[in-house]
Amino acid sequence: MNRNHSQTQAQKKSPPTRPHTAAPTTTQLPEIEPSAAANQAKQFLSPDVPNILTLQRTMGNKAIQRLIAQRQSKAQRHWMPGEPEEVQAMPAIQRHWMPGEPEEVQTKRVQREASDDERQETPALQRVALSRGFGVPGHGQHRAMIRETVSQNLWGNAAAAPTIQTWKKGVIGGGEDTGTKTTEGWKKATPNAEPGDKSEFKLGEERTPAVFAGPITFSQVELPADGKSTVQGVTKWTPPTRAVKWGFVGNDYGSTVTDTGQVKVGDNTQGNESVKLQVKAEDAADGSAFTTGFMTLYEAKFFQAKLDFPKFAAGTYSHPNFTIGLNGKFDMDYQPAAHRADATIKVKFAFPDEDLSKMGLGQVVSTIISQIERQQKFISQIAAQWSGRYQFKNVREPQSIWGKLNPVDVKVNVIPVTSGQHFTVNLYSKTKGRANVGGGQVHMFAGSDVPKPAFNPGTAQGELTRVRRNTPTPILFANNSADVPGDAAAKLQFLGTYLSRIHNPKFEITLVGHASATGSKDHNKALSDRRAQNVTAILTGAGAGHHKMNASGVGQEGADASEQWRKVEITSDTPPGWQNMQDTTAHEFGHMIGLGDEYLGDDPTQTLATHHALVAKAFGKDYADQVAKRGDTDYASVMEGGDDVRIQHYVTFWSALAEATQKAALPDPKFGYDDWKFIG
Amino acid sequence: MILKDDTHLDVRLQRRDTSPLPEGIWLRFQAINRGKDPSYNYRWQLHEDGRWFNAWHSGDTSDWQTPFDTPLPDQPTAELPATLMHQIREQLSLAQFMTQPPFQQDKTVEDGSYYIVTAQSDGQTHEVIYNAVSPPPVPFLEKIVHQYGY
Repeated sequence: MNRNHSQTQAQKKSPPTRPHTAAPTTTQLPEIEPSAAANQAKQFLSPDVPNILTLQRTMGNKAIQRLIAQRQSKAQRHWMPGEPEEVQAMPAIQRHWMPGEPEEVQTKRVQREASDDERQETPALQRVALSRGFGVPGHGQHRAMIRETVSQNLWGNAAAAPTIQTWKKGVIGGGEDTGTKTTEGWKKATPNAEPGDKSEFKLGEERTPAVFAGPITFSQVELPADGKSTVQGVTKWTPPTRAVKWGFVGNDYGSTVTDTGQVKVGDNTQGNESVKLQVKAEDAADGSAFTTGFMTLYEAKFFQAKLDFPKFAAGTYSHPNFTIGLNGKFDMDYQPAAHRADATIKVKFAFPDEDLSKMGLGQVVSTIISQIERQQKFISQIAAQWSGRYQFKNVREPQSIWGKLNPVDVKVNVIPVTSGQHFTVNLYSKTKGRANVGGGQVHMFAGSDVPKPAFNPGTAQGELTRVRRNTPTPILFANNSADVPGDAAAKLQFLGTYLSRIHNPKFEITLVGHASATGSKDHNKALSDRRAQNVTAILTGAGAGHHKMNASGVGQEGADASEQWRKVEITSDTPPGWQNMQDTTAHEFGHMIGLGDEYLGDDPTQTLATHHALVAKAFGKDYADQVAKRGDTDYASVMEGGDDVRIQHYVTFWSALAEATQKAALPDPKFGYDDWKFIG
Repeated sequence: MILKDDTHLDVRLQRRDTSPLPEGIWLRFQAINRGKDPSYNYRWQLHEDGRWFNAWHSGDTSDWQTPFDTPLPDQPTAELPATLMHQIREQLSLAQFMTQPPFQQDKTVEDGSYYIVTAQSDGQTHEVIYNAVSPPPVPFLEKIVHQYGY
């Protein structure tokens, strides 16, 4: 067993454990009178020093200090049978505990000791006192009192000794709700009091200090740092008719205070969201008699957000019958507390080529079952393709407040109704035709519900064309450098972002680093590797990591000494065997939420998809031009010829969310489109 | 009357069948998907004697901008009964087809069909392009393929 008692800080913080099987109990302490408190303090002191208070009275503090020092040195080698090793490692006085002490109290003591650096520095006997019931919730003021009383008397802390008088009178007797304010609020010295002065220090004896003040109170303790808000500070002095001088302790953050204690807050929180302003009131005649109080100044935007957030978060923000695009119509309901935005499309189903009145009973039953199944398939196909694909986030500052809204999940609901529908969806079982959406009517024909594999095979090449035209290649580097030049980095960032938003197909991107034929081969091989890796890092950093990246360097292979060989070349391909798939149901649903076709259709003069402007608003024109222009190449977007619901396809949900929250009374200023961004 | 300048139209409409109706052929009907899938595109021609020639698209989606990739069959797909022939004439007459505007559209509809109806009457040929609309006689004519085309 290790009996080396030298302590490291880590050992100090290790929670000591001990065998204890008694059921946890809660210790309830009664309200205590000053004399009772003193007695209780004695009672809770270690049995090792049962007469310490008596000793103090008879011997004085210096003698007690010597006694404690002796006991400490003995106690270093004292331990309790069966104690765990980590407890053994502590000085005995520190690890002392009382038999029968409830486990809860032990635990609290251990937690305090483990977490509170300040208390780690507190002499052991103090902690013994703390552990003995003064740590019970609701008795903080008593705990604080005992700590001070015992420690000052035992250790003879000259600097803090005068405080004792104040604590005795003000806290033990008064039983006031104190906390930290009390520490500041009752800090009046009694003149001529010295530690060890028996005539002055008699624990339990009540004395009336010359002057003392209660803590400063304010009608409002949290204020915006707007440079104009004012708040009145109030103090209670004994005797009451003192002249008071007001000021600040530490940084005033541009605040001022009048002779009557009216504080006008400053407007400079020095870049912090909040700062503590400590106001001080001191006796005009005796500067050693003072009291202080705190208020919190918040940076103005932060303060407003702090006020607005709980109210906003408690609400629901709806935009019923949100209409957008040629045919889009749905309800938007945003619940901040649930982190959820529901886009709900109410649908009345019809089955135009099935006339139940002309069927026999058996056929009616089977037809109705079939109708229910097809209806359910329509709903589930949409949910699978559209729901929860991307999220939104609120970017309003301060993010420490508004960031709590994030992320916002988007749930797409298709609800069958018999009236009040957004759309009538006509499901044909026999009739073949061309699915369409218009005038609140959706027509889905036989076979419309079956996704088509190998659809528009040119789509693979179309996708590649789009990627390649956004690929800056080759990337040229400076001599002996693997740092990607700034202009190329910006282009790579765009490519990476573009790729990040394509989930089908997943491309194979090959990045080959080169070096010019100057210097050693080994050096150039390593240099070309770094070049390829650095380019790859930009792409993956932009979110394109789900595509396959093959990065390698070939050094000076095949190169001459010219600068054109200091490069990375990028090529891309679709994975072998990749096929485009068309999903008509998902495509028509895009129209139902207000998206237009991304292929060139009936009007060749209309080269922009109807949602182009919204995509540009959300992602910028450069990106919109890549994904919402008609007459471009085939590609696998669900609104072109594929089944990939891409991030730009959430723009109408984004618009509905922005519009719904824009109507809300809060926050101030109101949310707008710029406050909502996409995740994904 | 055949729409002469169609360069402002969808390329698929530009590629519709605009060949002159030969002697004895009375009616031509073309259905083209406005979406990207040409699979259900079809066209038929109806002879005055009731012979009906129908051709579906092959289903090959590699060239979605060419609306028809199969020729009309050499042999009639069906012989339409006289009563139906009479009904067709009646529908065209009621719809005043020969004087209908040559291009009709509903710009609010997404996807759906182009229908092109071409008819000969009294030595005159008239063509109407219906862009996402289907006024008479289109619904009646469209039913023919469902009844005889599969």
